[in-house]
Amino acid sequence: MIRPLVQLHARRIATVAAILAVAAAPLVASWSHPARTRATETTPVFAEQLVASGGSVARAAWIAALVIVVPLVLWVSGRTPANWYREEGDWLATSPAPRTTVVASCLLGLVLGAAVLAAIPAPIVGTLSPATGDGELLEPSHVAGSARSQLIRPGDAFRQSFASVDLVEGDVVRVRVTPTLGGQTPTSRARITMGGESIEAVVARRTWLEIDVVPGADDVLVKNVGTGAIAVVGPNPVEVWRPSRAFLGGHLRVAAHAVLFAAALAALALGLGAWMSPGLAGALALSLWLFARGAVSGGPLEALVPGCAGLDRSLSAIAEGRSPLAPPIFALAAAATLISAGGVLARLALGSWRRDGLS
Amino acid sequence: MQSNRTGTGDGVAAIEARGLGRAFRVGLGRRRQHVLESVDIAIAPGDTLGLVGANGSGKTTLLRLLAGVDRPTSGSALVHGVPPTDRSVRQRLAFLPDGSPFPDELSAPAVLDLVGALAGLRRAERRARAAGLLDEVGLAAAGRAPLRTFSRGMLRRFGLAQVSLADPDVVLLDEPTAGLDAPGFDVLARMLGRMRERGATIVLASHVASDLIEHCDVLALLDRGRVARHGTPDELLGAPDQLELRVQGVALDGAGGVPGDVLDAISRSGGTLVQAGPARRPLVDLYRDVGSAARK
Repeated sequence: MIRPLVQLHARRIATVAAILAVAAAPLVASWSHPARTRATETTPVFAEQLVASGGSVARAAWIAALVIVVPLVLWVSGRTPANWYREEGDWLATSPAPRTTVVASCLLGLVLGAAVLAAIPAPIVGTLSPATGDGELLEPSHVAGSARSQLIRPGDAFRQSFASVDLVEGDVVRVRVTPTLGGQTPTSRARITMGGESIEAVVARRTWLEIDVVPGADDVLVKNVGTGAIAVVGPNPVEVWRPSRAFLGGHLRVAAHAVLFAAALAALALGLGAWMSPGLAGALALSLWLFARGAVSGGPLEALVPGCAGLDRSLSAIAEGRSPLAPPIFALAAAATLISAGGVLARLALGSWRRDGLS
Repeated sequence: MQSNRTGTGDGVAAIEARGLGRAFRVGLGRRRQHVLESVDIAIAPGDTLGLVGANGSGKTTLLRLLAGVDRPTSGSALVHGVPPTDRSVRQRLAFLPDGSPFPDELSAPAVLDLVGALAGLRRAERRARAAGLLDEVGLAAAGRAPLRTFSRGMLRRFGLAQVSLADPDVVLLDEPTAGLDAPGFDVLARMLGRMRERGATIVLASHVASDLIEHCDVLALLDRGRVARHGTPDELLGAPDQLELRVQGVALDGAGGVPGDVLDAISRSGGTLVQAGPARRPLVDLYRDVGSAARK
C-alpha cells in the first residue's frame, strides 16, 4: 500500500466539513426529536414511554448521521476514478507503482474515510442518549421459535423450551405477540410464565411479553387468558436478553454495523465509478443496495448484506434502550468480499488512465 | 510518414515513436478526429528534443503517449526499447503534465511525499529530497500552503521539483515555461542543465519556440498532428545570410545611430545593417538587483 495515497483518499471523504456535518446531525436530531414531548402526554405507562423515547431519539440520531454519510461516501468514491481519468492519471500513470497497488491504496483510503465518518456518531449518540434508563443494559443472547406466526385462541397456550440453552440469572425472556382475528374481542390478555413466576398483560397492539429468567426453569409459557385471539409473531418470536457490558451503551456496536455498510458502499461506488460517471455510479450503487435489501429480506442471506438486517436490528435494539450485538464474523467476511469486489471492478476498468474518447 | 532521427547510432533510442497516431471520437456521430498521425521520432540518449507547434498541433497528446498515460490508436511508443507502460521504464521516467493535475488540497511537500512514495522512495529520502528541491525552485517559503493557493508560475516551479524528485533519465515536460517569471526561467535553465549533465533524455513541448531553443539539441515542429519539420535549431531557424552580433564596449551615438566606424566595418565585409539597438540585460538580472537592494 502507498501510505500517502491512502491518507489522501481517506481525507477526501473524511474532510473537516464532513466530520462536522456528521457530528452535528445527531445533535440536531436529538434536540429536535418530538418523542420527548409526546412522552409527557402518555399517562398510564408514563415511565415505559419515557424510556422508549430516549431510545428512539438515539435511533433517530443514528439515522440522521447515516443520511449524511451515505450520499457523501457515494459521491466521493464514485468520483475518484473520474479524477484518475481526467487529471490525476497524468502522474499516477507515470509512477512505477503497479496499478493494482494504486487502486488498492485508493480503495483502502476511501474505506477508512467512510469508516471514520460512520463511526463518528457512536460517542456522540452514546453520550447524549445512554442506551438504558431503567437498569442494566441488555444484549441479545438467543432467539428461538418457529419461522411462521402461531395463532393462540382464548384458553390456548404457546410453549418454548430452552432445554439446550444455558439460561442464567439476570437473563430476560420475551415473546413477540399481537392481537389478531378469531376471538370475541379485538384485544386480549396474556400471561407469560416461567418457573412458577408469571406476568399478565393486555395485548392491544403488537408488543413484547417479557419476564425475568428464573434459575432452573427450562421453558417459557404464554397463555391467552382473555377473550380475544392473539398470535405469536414469527420468525424467531422468542428472544433471550442477557446483561451486557458493551462500551458506550452498545453504540460502538451500531457503529461497527454502520462502518461495514459505509465501507461496502464506498467500494461499490468506486468500482462502478470506474465504468461510468460519478453520479450514475452513486445512484446505481444505492439502487443495487436497495435491490439486495429487498431480495434477501427474511432469507438466510439477509445478515450478509451490509446495511440490511444487521444494521436494522442494531438500530431496533438501540431504540429499545438495549445494546445490539457486534457484527458476526461472517458479516465481516461478506463485507470484506464486497469491498474486494469493488476494488477488482475498478482495477478491471483501468486499461488506460485517460478516457478521452479512444477511437 | 516522416522519419526523424537524432543520431542514435547503433544503440537503442532513448525515446522512439513508430507510426504513432491518436484519434478521438467526437460529436454525436462519433466522428473520428485524428489528433496525431503517423509520427516517427527517435531521440538518442542524452539528447533534448523541443516539440514546438501551434495550439492543438498534438504536442500534449504526443507527450502523453510517450509517457504511457494514454494509449495510441496506431503505431507504438518505446522508451529505452520497451513500451512506456512497462514498470522498468516508469522507474526511469518523469512527466510534467500541462496544468496542475496534482491534489490541490495538499501542500507542496505533501504532494512531493506522495509522488516520491509512488516512485518507491523511502520516507526519509523523499522528505530530504523534497525539502532540497522546493528550496531549489524557490518554494521553500510556501510551507504548508495548499497547491490551490499557488499562482500558475509557482505551480510550474513545483512541477519542475516533481519531475526531478526521483532523478529520472527520461524527462517529458509539457509547457514547462507557461506562467514562469524571469527567475522561474532561471530555475528551469538550471534544472535542465543538471538533468543534461546527468545524461537525461529530455523532451520539452511549448507553443512558444523561443522559450526552448537554447535548451534543445533538436527541434520537431508539429503541425496538425504531423511532424512538419525536424532538425537542429540552426537547421530549422538559422538564416545563413545573416549574422547576429552582440558588441561590448560600443554604444549608440548621441543621435541614436550606430557609430560610423562600425558601419564602415560592416560595409567593408559586404553586409548591410538590418537592425541595431542598445543591448538589454536579461530580465532576471533586474530581479536580482531588486532582490539584493531589498535585502540591504
